[in-house]
Amino acid sequence: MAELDTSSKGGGKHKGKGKKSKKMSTRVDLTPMVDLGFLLVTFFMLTTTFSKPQTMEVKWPSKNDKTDKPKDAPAVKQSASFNVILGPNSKIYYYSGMFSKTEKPELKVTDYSSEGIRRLLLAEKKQRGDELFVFIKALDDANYKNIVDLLDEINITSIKTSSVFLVDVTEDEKQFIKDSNL
Amino acid sequence: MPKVKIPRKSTLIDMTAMCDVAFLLLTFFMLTTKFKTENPILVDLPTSISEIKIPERDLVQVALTYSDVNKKGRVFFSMDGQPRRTVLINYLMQRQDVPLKYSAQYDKTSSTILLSNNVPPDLKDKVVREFSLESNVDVSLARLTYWLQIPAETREQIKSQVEKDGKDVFVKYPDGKTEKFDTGLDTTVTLIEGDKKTSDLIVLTYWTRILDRKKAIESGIKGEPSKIAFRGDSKAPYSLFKKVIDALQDADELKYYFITNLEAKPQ
Repeated sequence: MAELDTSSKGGGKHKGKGKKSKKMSTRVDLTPMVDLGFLLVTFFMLTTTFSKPQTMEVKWPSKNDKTDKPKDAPAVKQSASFNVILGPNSKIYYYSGMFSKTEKPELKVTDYSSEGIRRLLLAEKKQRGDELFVFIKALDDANYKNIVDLLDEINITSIKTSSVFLVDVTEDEKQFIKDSNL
Repeated sequence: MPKVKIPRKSTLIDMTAMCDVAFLLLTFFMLTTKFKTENPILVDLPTSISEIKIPERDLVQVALTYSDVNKKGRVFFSMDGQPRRTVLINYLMQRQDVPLKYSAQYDKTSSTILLSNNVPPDLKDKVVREFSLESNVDVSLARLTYWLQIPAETREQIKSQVEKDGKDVFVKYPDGKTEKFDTGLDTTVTLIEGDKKTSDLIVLTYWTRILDRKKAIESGIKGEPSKIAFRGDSKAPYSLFKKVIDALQDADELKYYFITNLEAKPQ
């Protein structure tokens, strides 16, 4: 009996009669490939770093020239300044206004919590607006985290960075802090 | 009664779908991955609300560490990209910022790095190669060339001995002088020619800028200059931070990125 090639429709490759080509299954065992795939997935999953750390962008003033200072920057008034001194053990000393040998403002102490320095900065900002100048000083036993935290607070309270200055703490101020015993 | 025939089902499952999924995931991970850089400098990062992602390329990092054992902060410098580091060390060595004067050997029993004056001609290549493989500048520039001659594993041992265990390691010069060895960059600033200042960080940032310029010329595009990022330990003392900032200000580097972990934004 003659066999009919029913499988190939219109392909025309096998002209049918006589020669019967042996059909191989097109199915491949994919198990090893899946194995390999998952092995690589695992590898990449373990070596990848998803959460990239964040950064805080900070511009520092130049030491010698004042060229990059905007021309319309308001003159810094010492009397309208809010001075923040970072101390050891996450203490923040602060005072408003001028500091000199004769004129000593009231020194107070606060901390890095949202009820502490943040509230103070917000209050100062509300009260003085654009007139506010924040001077950040740090004692030698303050640490890096304190600086970052404070810069972050400045960020949170959205005080203009042009009115924030990082300056050295003077000897008089050190003595002042020591004397006030806070 | 005829037996009920239970048709036998094949245990083979069609793997095509699973294979598809596996390779889809694979492609995803391959495209999103950025390999963890081997960063042996472990720091406890402070947190901030800032959400700016760390720049991927052209980054130089200044790490500030603090070790509780010896109550001391250290400064490290690191640059990404092996080719860039190769160029950097070549520059440094050409200009005598990093003199290759000694050959070194580490004597484990006495914890001493022994230096000698005879420098084999192939030593320079070795130092260049080691520098390009090491992502951090672990020691001061004055010590760099002999430090890199010590095998990498020994270097790690010495580092952990000095930084973690707080044990002393010494350097013995050919003239018999012995000095205490410490890791981290030298932060002292010295004056040269009038008011020009130099220190390890100033030299390193200077050459980083030269590298940026060279790259811009070669590629013909005015690319972004390398960014300086601080990777500071929360407990790193302010005095150390101040020294680093001072040096960078002297080098006219005024824009920094502080690497921090994310913290929730307050309402």
